[in-house]
Amino acid sequence: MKNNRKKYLVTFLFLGMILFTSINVIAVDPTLESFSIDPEEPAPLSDITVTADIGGEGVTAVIVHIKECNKAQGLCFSQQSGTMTELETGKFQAQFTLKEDKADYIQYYFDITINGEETRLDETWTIDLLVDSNNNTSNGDNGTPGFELIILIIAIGVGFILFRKKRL
Amino acid sequence: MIEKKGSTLVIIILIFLLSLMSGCTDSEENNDGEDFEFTLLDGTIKHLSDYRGKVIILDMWATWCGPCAYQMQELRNIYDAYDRNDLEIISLNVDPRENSQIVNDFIEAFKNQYGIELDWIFGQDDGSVWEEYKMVSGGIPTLYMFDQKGRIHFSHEGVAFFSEIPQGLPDDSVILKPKIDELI
Repeated sequence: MKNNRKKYLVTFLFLGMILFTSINVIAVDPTLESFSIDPEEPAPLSDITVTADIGGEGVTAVIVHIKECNKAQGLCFSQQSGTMTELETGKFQAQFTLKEDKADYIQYYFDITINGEETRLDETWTIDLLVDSNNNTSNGDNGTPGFELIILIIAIGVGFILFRKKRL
Repeated sequence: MIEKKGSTLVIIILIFLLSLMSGCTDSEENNDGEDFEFTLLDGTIKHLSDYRGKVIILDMWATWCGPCAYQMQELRNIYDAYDRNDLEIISLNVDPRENSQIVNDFIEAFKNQYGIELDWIFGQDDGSVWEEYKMVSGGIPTLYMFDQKGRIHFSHEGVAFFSEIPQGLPDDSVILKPKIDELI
């Protein structure tokens, strides 16, 4: 009788241990193990390839969101989102074309679907874009052309009057 | 000679009258002010003209935009500094992919993260407001300030501050307080 009790207790503990271990395996949180952008320092309006290694069981979909912003102006222009293609287990890839010539950095973050449930990874990553320092995109003069032309016309007019006066 | 002088005088008078008339038309248009339609987060349809008599700050934003979140903190300061009879803030989400649930979640998360309550007017744009009021770069946040008659008093693309420029930011950053005080 005592032996039977002991056997039951050991079996119960053993089953409990197995169950506990399996729960732990199912509950593994998704993690972004590595991430890369090609090219590493993209330029505005360029094509980029985003590759991510996602750890964790049951990952069925990964969506990457990329926003294009400008630090100096404190502006964001657009956000693109794309479902990443699974190249091999846990390795996902997506391609984007950056849309904004005035952006000087991009930020990206991920939504991961595990067993049908979507989770947003807490972290947001930032990459500076390769901006041509000579390319002044926020040139305020662009909106008001013609002032130079007016000055030129006035100068020609004054010159013409002076020229005629001298001839007379 | 007298005839010529007379006709010149008539032309001058006509030009003067025409300019006066055009001036009248302009001022009538200005009195009408701007108007647009938007949807509150609870689904109620509202118009800018519903808020005539107050200075309105229109803030066009989206939940994913970092600078827009920073702008919210400045808007909080503005909202606290003025009476509700004088000033209202309308924050319109201009990303058509984001619904009112996403905006409500953002407001909740903002409160939890920063302890700042975003309790002014929040709404959704169906694209028409953004189409009409987006600026050259098409970036957000984009701010407009309308006077009590709905006329555009000021507009700006990018973060603008209430009364002080935080350390490390450019000296030519926009300060909103003097522009609001001009109207109130």
